[in-house]
Amino acid sequence: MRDSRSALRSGMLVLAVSVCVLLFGCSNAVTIWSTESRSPDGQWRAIARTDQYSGPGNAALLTTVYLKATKGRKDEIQVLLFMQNAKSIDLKMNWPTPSHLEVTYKQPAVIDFQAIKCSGVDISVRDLSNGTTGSSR
Amino acid sequence: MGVASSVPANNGSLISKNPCTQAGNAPDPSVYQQKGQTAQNNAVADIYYLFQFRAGGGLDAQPQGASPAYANYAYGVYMSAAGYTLNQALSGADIYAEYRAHYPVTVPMARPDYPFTPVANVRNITNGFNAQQTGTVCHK
Repeated sequence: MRDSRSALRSGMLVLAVSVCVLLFGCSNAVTIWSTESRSPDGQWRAIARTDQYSGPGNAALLTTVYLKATKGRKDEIQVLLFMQNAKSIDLKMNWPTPSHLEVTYKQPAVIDFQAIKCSGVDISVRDLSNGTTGSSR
Repeated sequence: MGVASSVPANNGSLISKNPCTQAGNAPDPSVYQQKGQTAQNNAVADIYYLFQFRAGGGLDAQPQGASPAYANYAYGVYMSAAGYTLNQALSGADIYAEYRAHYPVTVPMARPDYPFTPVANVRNITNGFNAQQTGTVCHK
């Protein structure tokens, strides 16, 4: 009796999730913020985006930073990934030199991926969320 | 490309001990619990409520100012109150994620059990589920 009830619940869950998956109303990630910063020599564009994911058990906010060459290769190369609880982490991007991208953020976030160098560009991150200026490079 | 960290983060700041402090204007967990209890013996209501967890649905807490942690916690509360097992709750989220939520490959996933769902989501769903089971659901 208990097994058949559990099977029924599983069936209903699969049905509901399937309807959710199939219908257009269940959208995928939505970009809620973005910005970009060009390197002083114009060779690179640093692009940051915050995407909001939704759906049953799938709420998430991710901010991703990409590098994109202005000439040649046109694909975006992911260099940083933050997972956060706030809609904004006050992320800023700055180029101290043409080969150094500095990223700062002021709201709590977890860095899930960090590249320290990409195609000759050094990437550093400063966490300003707790008043300190911890840096990783 | 030099990679400093592609690590399963500790996810400390993503898993709140009291997610109700991040509820925004979303309904209190007791509302999710009550709807779950209603759905326990009402299949139509259950499917309707599950559908409301879609993006922008009435039970999607994020557009109402809640954090992702709270939204996933609330889903766990609902699923527990509705009589699902924890595995069913997590599998439901994982099936949805497989087809609709294409996270970047660098997001730490709850492999091997729920390979399409981020670790933080699994923890927050589990926290909501367990809180409902033990009568310790948080309140706004």
